[in-house]
Amino acid sequence: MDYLLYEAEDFAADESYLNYYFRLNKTDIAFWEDWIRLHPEKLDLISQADHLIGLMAMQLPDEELQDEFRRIERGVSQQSHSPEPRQQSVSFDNVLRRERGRGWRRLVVALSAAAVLIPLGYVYFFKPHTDDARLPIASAGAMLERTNPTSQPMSMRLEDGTFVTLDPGSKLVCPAHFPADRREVYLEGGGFFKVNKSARQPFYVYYGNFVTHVLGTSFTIRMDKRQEQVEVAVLAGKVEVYKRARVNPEKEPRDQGDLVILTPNQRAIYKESEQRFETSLVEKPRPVRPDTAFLETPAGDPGATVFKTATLADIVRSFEKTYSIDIEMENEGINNCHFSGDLSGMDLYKQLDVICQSLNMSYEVIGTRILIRGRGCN
Amino acid sequence: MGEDLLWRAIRNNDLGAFTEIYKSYYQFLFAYGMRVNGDKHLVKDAIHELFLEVWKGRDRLPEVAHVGSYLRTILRRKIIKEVPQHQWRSLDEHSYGADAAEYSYEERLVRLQSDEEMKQKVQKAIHSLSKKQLEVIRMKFFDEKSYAEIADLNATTPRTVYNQVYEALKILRKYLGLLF
Repeated sequence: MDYLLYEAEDFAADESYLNYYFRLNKTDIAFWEDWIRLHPEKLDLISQADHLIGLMAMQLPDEELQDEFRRIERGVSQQSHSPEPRQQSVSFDNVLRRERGRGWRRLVVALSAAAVLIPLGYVYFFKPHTDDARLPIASAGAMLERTNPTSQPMSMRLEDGTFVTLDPGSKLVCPAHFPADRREVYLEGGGFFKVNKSARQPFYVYYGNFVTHVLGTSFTIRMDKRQEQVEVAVLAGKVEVYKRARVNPEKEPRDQGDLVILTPNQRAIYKESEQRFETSLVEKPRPVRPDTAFLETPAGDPGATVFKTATLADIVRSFEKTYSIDIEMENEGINNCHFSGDLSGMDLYKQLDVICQSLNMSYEVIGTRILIRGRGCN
Repeated sequence: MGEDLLWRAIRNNDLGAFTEIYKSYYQFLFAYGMRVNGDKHLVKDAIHELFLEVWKGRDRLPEVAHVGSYLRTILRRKIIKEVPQHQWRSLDEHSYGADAAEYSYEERLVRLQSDEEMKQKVQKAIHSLSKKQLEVIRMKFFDEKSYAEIADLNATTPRTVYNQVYEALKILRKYLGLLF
């Protein structure tokens, strides 16, 4: 079964996919969650398939579901009677976050206090997240918030067609309707974004005290397990990441270190302790676009990576194009070396390992570039 | 956390567990409610009440083997109590569409939509399906039956049922395509 050739209706009619959708079979659930994660370029089709299934399976439309959720939230918070009064100030949604680190716990306390004094409105949910009094998102109009309380990634589509997969325990806050000039969302936890291009409506993701300005792309944001650093990794397109103080990036001068621009397979890591961004390559670079010009591809197997007496110059150019990563040679002579071999199914670093080993060379990742060292060939 | 642990946590006043049960069972209960009665406002109200009562009576919640079936049973009882007998419309698997007074699957699909434009689109899309196609779609997506089960009921092969579903989905997507 070649799922890569699937259209939306192929997924929607696939028994295994439906077992995943309806949560009927553990093997299928695991398989599809994995598959979807590994094929972000298929998210559009997957979400079309989900819409199709949801419609026929009589699921309540999403916006109404959000309304119902707010209704039960109000209903529950209005209940004055409680068997254990000490729990009364716990608000509805923030309990999910209690396992988080210290910073989050402080947030939960702030939220709980707010919940006692005022009726729970969704606007209040993000107010305590900001360190300054200024709300990051234009607060006009109703806000929607979506939490993923499950242990699985949860996919959703925003009003503008942007596709978001929220990590377990994460939350996204966005306006019910985006204003005409910008799209701003607020994220806690982590998630994958595939942003619909729109030149007139730039897309901003606010996360803690920094902002990711998206230029039509897909990327992930998440905090590491120890919660000391935040990582933004780009799969396609281009994003700009900067600290929250820069409310209007167009008007302020850009300093080194607190603004970075990322292209595919690059990531920015923001360390709380150092208060600055550091750029590097992602752990596992993924092909951005296949480049087969220099490959001896066996017929019928487009996924194969086989080189036949190709020069290193050609191989490196092919890698650069495929992974959108800059690769440099320590000396010109390396370009003249030849390599033959089957590198199918290996990731970029493994491929470089094999090539370097066979030619008695080495490579090093320096920031967002790769440097190949060796004596070279004549 | 497993559902039985969550359920027990609700009894211990855990609002987070309650939220989790609410969110993971909502669509499951909603689809079931729509099967019992085609009025989505009634179903929404019944689910709302059901959960409010669960939280209100959290210190007296019974131990249950399957949270989903427990919630479904209460939901069914609630919906039946709400609707006077003479207005009763059931969507029994085999009798659907037989009684003019009850909502058919296709009517329910249309009524489910929030806005007029979407209602019309869904109606148009469904009308372009054959009777057989609509039936297999209902069995597959609403009754959550396997292709083998549907094939048995229709005295045909799973492959044929798959093809029918696939063709129906293609038509539906064509009509609904602009929405996505």
